[in-house]
Amino acid sequence: MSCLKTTVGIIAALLAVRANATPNTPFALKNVTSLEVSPKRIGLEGRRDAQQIVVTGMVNGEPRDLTDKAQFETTKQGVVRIQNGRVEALQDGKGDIVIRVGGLVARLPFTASYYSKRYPVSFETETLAILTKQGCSTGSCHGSPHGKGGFSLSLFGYDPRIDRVSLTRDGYNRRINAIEPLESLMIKKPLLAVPHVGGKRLRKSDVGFRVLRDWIAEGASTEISTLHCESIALTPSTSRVLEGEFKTQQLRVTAQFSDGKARDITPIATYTTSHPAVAEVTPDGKIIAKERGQTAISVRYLDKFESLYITVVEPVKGFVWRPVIENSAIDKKVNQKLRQLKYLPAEVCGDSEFLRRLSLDLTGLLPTAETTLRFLKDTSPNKRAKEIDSLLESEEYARFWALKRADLMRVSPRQLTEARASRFSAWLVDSVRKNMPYDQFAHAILTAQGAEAQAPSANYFLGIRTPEERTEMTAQIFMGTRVECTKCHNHPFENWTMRDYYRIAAVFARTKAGDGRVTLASVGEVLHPTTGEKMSPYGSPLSSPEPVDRREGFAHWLTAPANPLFARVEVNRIWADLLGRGIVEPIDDFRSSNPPSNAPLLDYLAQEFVTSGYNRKHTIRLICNSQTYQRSTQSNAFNVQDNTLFSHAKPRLLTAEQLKDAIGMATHTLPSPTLSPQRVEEAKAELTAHHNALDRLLPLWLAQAEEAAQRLPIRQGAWRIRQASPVSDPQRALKEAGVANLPALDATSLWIRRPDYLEQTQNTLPSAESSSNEGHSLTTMARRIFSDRPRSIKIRWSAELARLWLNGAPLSSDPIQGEREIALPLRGGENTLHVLVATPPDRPAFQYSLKPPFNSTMVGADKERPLTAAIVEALMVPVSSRTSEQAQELREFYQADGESNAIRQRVASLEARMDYATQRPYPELSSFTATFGQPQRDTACTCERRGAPTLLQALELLNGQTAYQRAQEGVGYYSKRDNSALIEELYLAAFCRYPVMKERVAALKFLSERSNNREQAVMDLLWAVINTQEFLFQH
Amino acid sequence: MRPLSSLKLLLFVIAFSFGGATAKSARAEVKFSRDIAPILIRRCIGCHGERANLGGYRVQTFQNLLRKGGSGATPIVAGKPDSSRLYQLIASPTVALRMPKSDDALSKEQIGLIRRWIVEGAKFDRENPSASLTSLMGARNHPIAPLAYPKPVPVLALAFAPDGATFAAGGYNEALLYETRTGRLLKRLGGLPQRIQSLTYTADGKRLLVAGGTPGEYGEVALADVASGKRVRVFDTFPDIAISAALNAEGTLIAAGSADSSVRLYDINSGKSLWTSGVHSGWVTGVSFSGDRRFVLSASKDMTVKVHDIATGALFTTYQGHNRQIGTYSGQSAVYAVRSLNNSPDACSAGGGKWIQIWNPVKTQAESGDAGDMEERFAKQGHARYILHGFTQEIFALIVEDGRIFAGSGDGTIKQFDLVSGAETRLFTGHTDWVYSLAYNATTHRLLSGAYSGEMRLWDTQSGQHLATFWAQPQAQVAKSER
Repeated sequence: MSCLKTTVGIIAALLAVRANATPNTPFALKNVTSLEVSPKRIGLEGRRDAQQIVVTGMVNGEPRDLTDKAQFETTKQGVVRIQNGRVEALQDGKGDIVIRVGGLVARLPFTASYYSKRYPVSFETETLAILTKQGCSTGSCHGSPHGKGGFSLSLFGYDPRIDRVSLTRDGYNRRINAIEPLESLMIKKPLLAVPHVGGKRLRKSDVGFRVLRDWIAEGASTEISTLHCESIALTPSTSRVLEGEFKTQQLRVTAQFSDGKARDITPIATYTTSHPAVAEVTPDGKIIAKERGQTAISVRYLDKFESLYITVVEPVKGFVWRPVIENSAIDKKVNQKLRQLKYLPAEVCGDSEFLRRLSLDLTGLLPTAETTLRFLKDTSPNKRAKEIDSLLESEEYARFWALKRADLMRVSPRQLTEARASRFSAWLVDSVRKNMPYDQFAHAILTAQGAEAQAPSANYFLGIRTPEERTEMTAQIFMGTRVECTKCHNHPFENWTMRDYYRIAAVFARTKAGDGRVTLASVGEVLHPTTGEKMSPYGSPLSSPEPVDRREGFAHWLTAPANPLFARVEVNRIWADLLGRGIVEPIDDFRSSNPPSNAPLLDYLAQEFVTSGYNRKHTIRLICNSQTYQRSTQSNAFNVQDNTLFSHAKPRLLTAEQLKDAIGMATHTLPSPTLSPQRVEEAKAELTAHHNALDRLLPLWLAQAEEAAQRLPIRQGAWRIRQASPVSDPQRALKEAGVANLPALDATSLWIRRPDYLEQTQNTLPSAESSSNEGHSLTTMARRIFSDRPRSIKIRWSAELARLWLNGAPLSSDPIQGEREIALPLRGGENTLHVLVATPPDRPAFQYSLKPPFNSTMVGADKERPLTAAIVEALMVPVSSRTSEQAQELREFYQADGESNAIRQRVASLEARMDYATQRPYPELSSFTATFGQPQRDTACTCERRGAPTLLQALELLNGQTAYQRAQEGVGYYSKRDNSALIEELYLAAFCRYPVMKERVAALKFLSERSNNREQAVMDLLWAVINTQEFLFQH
Repeated sequence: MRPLSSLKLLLFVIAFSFGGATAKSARAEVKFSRDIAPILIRRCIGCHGERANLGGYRVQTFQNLLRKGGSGATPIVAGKPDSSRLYQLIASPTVALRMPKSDDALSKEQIGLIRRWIVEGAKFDRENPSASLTSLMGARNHPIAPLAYPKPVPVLALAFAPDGATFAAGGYNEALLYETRTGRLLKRLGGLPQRIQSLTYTADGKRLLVAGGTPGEYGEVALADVASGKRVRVFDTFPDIAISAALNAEGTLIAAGSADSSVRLYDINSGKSLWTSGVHSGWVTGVSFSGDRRFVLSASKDMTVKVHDIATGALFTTYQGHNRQIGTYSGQSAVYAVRSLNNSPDACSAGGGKWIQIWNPVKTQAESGDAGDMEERFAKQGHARYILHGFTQEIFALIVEDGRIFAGSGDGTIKQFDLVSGAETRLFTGHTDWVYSLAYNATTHRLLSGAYSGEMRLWDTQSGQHLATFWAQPQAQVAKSER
């Protein structure tokens, strides 16, 4: 048999030769209608120069690579040699290359010059490129931070200064042998001529071998030039389909250098494929199709990176495309891709499936049994669209979709405080509720300023403090890009560089966050960690004057319609939320080497998003109304292998929050969300009743409190600190200072708003914001002190140099030095204390201590509550002159007792829907939700939410507290119903459908057989339903 | 299946007849150490050696070669090449199965040799089957040095003859002898390792102790006769370059350190190896005998200096001063040089980091311990002296003599420090590339420095003057007349 095969092969080979010799051409080549040759002309300089030709023909309307099918001849013999479309010079000269394929002819003029001139190998642009190509400088080999085997290179040659030392000087010059280049360890190791843990990495036939050998032979020059690569370009530049006879695609790669010249770098560029099973690339840049699918072919050269998308199409036996209903452009784009790759879309899902899927997707909750019944009975043809619209308007939608956003924004009491987390969360819910255009949303987050209590979006910056963290999080959330790598080196799989990273960091360098507010500083820079260069903020033109808020320029750049990432990333997130998989996956890893599974679809969605004014609801509506969204999970023989092209719906395990709420709702142990307002009203009524009871006791309390307030002898305002200024002679400066140049305390400053009691015995004053680096700095401080009568108290100071004024009069004529105790003779009523301190640069703070004259007072039934400053303030005012606000303040203070607070908390909890995991303002992080992958909100990565099922989850459901308790509690509701109604309602609540006959019979039998212990039987039934796959999955 | 096996047969016939056609090898018996071991080393050890054992199979010793690998098949069946898995694999016509994997096949001659060796009984012609194959091969016969160098070689080793009138520099497969005054190349001592890492004159100036090798594959410590220009004795070979060798004060012992991490001691007269120590975990970059004659000191890229008992080679203590996590003198860096002080038990070591460190082995041992608070105690009790050197790069060469310290650095400068005060007393600038080597002659007050560029500079340490520049690049004419 194999003998026969061989013979046939030989004959075939002979025939092929003859076919070439005669004008007979293979069938497909007859259909070539036009030829295009790249480049348009060839100029070769020196003997090492070479150019790759790519021949493209239109065959039946599709561009096809004909490079390996074309015949090349030259009009002038012996000047150039052409092998596999690669042209090399043999001597100086010029002429035409004649290219023939399928009866068509193209001519390509060439010149070869300077053949005898020496062009030495360039360390930076050739040697380092080869070290990348051969795999030496990858992250798993010598490019790792500590290198391998004592030999360390910079990752993909990003820092030639490191490689210069490693290759030539480090290790006593052991890697290079300039006398006998082939004796160099740098060549013998990868050739495996000596043991090499990294294995064989180089062959003598490789271009890399010649480059390394010549570079060493020429003296291993490591001169670092100013020449750099500005960009690289691929031919072809757009995606290609490989099919039938056209299973290969030759690439031509050129680099544009800073000297204005473009060079062919095809043989020294590095090629990778994202899906090696679909297509591979040879080191010469030839793509070879392997099996049906899509892949990105990525080309790296130094720090430049470009990708090309390749689709491989293969015939599928028995496949016939069957036209299906298309609801929208989405369906058209999806089906085009399916048809091209020969997959058949699944059928449309049933109403029950649709409703359950939609409800979980849009609100996080199961539909109630009533909703399900209403929907199933509805006969109008547009009932699905109506349901989509109705859910999009629900409060549950706003809360559930805000939760997804809050996950990424790390809204958690652990990052912020509980109050801040609630406020930020409420802001996010509101933004979804109002369907805030997404560009405005991003803008509001990224340019937030002021106190978070007024501008809750400022919490974004309060949770993440460093410019680096802000860079990484912003890039991941809004640009779907993981830039962490570029903190230390250029991105290995993308064009992002260290410069980009630190330019984005520079955007946030002047955003100060602290004490609950975001402010803009007028100074603050980010320096490039290796070059020390001051980075200009990303998104602003390099030459522009310093903007007031650097973030504006960045936000503008980010949200501009032309930004290729912003809209795509968001629609991809929405798509992934609804379909269970992104068009780009992982959804926050956009890079050219990670291709979308359906680029036209992503482009379309992004375009729609932009033209709709970044309307997220519009996008959701568009997707939910598509056939693609409404497809069944049932696969067929022609789509069962497809996981990426959306030929059928993907069953998804409910998320932690969805599952927790679903169990609660199916067992009727959660208050229906629509019932909550009623319970809120009830609680509020309870509170009013309690307050009415307290009101009767108010006069008595006021009398007690006024008396207590009178007993307060001293209180004081907070320090008001003026910025420090440098001073050369502190002694003199202090001595010459008069009270006239001290800042006055105006009526509003720090008296009523923020009084403290003299409670602290020891205090360290904060340093003023920017103390000078050289010499001393002067800091001015002032505070008010209130005393009920004239008295003298003592204050103890420890400072290098200070002067104090009380009520405008200096307490000493000379500066006080070191540790001293000073008497403060207070007058009755208001006093003003001014302090001027000179501090050396290394010890900007100083200490003071003040003996408190008494302990703070508590009054009323609620003895644990001390009076607040504002209350004392109000109490000090005689009743007749109290304002109505003050009277109200006193009343509210009195009413805020423990019981009131408990009721208020209950109201707040109901309003915040704390019972619902999908509706809460911040995650509860119970062991149940943690088991099912609820993120801790530590990162901005969606990957923090774990999706893979675990054994622990199975155990939690089978034996865990949550499932057990809910089933137990659910008995109360269900056991009141007769068996038939019970079963029906349970199925509707859990599965959104009626039980089928078989299920109904089995459940009835189960319940009736155990009528002697009905509660146990009902509980068992609930537990069994919770544990079915149909319940646990969204399908 | 049939055509395939006939093809195989054909190949065998070719292989066999080729082997038979080589008249010489047809007569002489195939010797494992001479004929087979080099093939295994060159083509197999990379994947089946000490570092990697792909397929669970290793061949770095004869013993390993016979041991079954992961497949369980017998690698060598004496007399039956076709039943020997090793032979089946190297001779396999199926490229995917053939060894060396994803590499060019062995040459027909090599396959033929292995086949014949198995046919002849797969005998081992040496004593120790667990000795590494590289050690079986013995000292290499080095190729003749090139007549003229295309470019200067980095000067890794320099040594003054005792009278200071001549000096030796490391060349390529040779040591180069120059007249100090004129810089004239007097002689070329050939037959030496490719790289010369260390050169030391014996006290009578008649012989040169040489350490060197071929990076990544071979090292050698040898003695060359200056007058005859011949290599008179090879003390040992190593699987990687020998970086440093030193003579004791009496001229009776030789200590050597290699990139294979070993420290070894030899008797100069008998040539016998006295001990080998494997306590370092990185290249041994420098060796020295302590001034009190008790210890051999070894510096290493593993950031330590080890102190060995001179009689037994046992580890006496480890100096951790170059690898400290906390304290004023913290830093982790490789050590490139260690020198002992004359008539003092103290040692001086340097490499990366900010300081040249002077310390005492005995006190070091007293301070060391395995308690968790060792660093703390060390910082408190440390007796070592730290000389802030101010170089911007690592120190590769160190000389302590005449109450002075000379240090040469990767930043291209050389500095002279006063041993007692630690003060920098002189700065020698002029090299434009890394300085790797230094030599000093106390009689003539001359200092020599050698750099990566191949440039050698001669300095007067009394005036600090730069006297001359030489290049480690024999020219063809000189070579002809001197040879």
